[in-house]
Amino acid sequence: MNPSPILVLRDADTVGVAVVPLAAGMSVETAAGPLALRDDIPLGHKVALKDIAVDEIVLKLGFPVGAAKRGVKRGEHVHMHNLRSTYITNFSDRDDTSGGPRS
Amino acid sequence: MTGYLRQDGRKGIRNYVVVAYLVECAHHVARQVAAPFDARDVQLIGFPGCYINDYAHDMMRALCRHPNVGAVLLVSLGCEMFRREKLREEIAASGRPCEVLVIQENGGTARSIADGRAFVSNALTALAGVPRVPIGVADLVIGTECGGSDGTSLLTANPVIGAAVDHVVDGGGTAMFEELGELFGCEDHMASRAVTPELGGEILRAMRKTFRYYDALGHSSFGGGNITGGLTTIEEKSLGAYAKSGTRPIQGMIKPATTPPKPGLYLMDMVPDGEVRFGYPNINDTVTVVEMIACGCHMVLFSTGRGSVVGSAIAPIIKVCANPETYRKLPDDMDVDAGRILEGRGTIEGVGRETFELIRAVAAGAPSKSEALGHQEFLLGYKSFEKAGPACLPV
Repeated sequence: MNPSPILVLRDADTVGVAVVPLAAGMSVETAAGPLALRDDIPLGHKVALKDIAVDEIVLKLGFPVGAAKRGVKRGEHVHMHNLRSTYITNFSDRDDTSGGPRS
Repeated sequence: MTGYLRQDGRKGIRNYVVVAYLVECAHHVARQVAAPFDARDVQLIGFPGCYINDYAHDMMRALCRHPNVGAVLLVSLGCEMFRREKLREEIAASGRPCEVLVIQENGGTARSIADGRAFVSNALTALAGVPRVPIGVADLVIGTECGGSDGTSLLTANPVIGAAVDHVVDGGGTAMFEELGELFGCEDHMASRAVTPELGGEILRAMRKTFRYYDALGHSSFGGGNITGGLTTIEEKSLGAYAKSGTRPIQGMIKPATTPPKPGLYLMDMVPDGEVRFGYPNINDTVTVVEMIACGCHMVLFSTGRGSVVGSAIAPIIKVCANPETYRKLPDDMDVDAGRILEGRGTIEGVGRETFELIRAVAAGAPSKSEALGHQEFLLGYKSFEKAGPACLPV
């Protein structure tokens, strides 16, 4: 069997990381079970491994990497639109910048 | 493997003549002095400010007395406040040929350029006689940096650098990591790795300072390329950055321009002390790379996901590329293809060993990619620091 295209870094993690670009609608095997992708997941980006409630702390590599801005469904892309820092508001969260090039 | 023995006992892996301007107004003359020479022989650095600053003086002294530097030409306009004579005496006291060229007292631009080039030519002849001595991993100081991080950095290049750092420390060498603004969420883990509880307390205190500093500035050390690459929050980016530090105990916490007093792993506290005064602690990666080099780093391991191409003056940069797509786009700029781990063509341990072997090759004289391409980025601005507390340094 091919290695999973979604890396689950620790058992407790609520997000996995795409190690190849993945398309919405795909169904992939992961260490946390089969996962139906609701969004495109570019290389290095995160996908929800379970339903995540608003304000729930998101775990990656077993560490908190932020809190959910809203409810997130299993298989959704997890990024700026649904995850916020619990430390310092990012430059790119503000309205006065595009935050540089986006692909 | 041989190095260049300096009077203070440290050994260099390069033998540069440095041309250093002491204010932006002398930059053009300094650049023209250096221009006809090969970058393998002559490097250009400088401080742009007209007003005096202790941090800038300490940085310039440390850089001009770096083990990779054999001789120094200081280029002054004449009316700036930099204490040029004090700096010249400090450099000369280290056994290095050093002269000050004051443009206002030397007939202006053209004559200063000609005189400067004559000094450099003579210095290059003199440097050919610097004794070569055996050098080993235990003599090396290695810095770590990341730039253009993305979602692959944590998976490949950063832990690869961590593995190489462990090899350096296990070999009796010295390594350092920094960018406190990219270590949020790692505070307690770092403190637990400190060799004494007192050092752990100092690390936590420095992280509280860092939070206050960046909070006052309004944003964290996080940019557009990070987001494109899949990173969402500063604490997520920090996890990856922290992996560069490897797994060995933290021996001490030093300020920029401090030579580590004994081997081992160090954290460099690059966030200014006191009230927020001179702006961002790291307006780009080069600022902190230069600060690590001022701590005596012979070279810097630089992890990149999006694809930074920068090098540095005085010490080579080794690029460890995290992202396999980036590596295919920029192979001529990348020294290590760590992204291949994601494609099942390598392991963190294996590529970590490869990176460690590359450290040894570059120490033996092989140029890194950015070095061979002539990169010598350099930036030095204003900061203010208090002295490190006694618990910060190993006894």
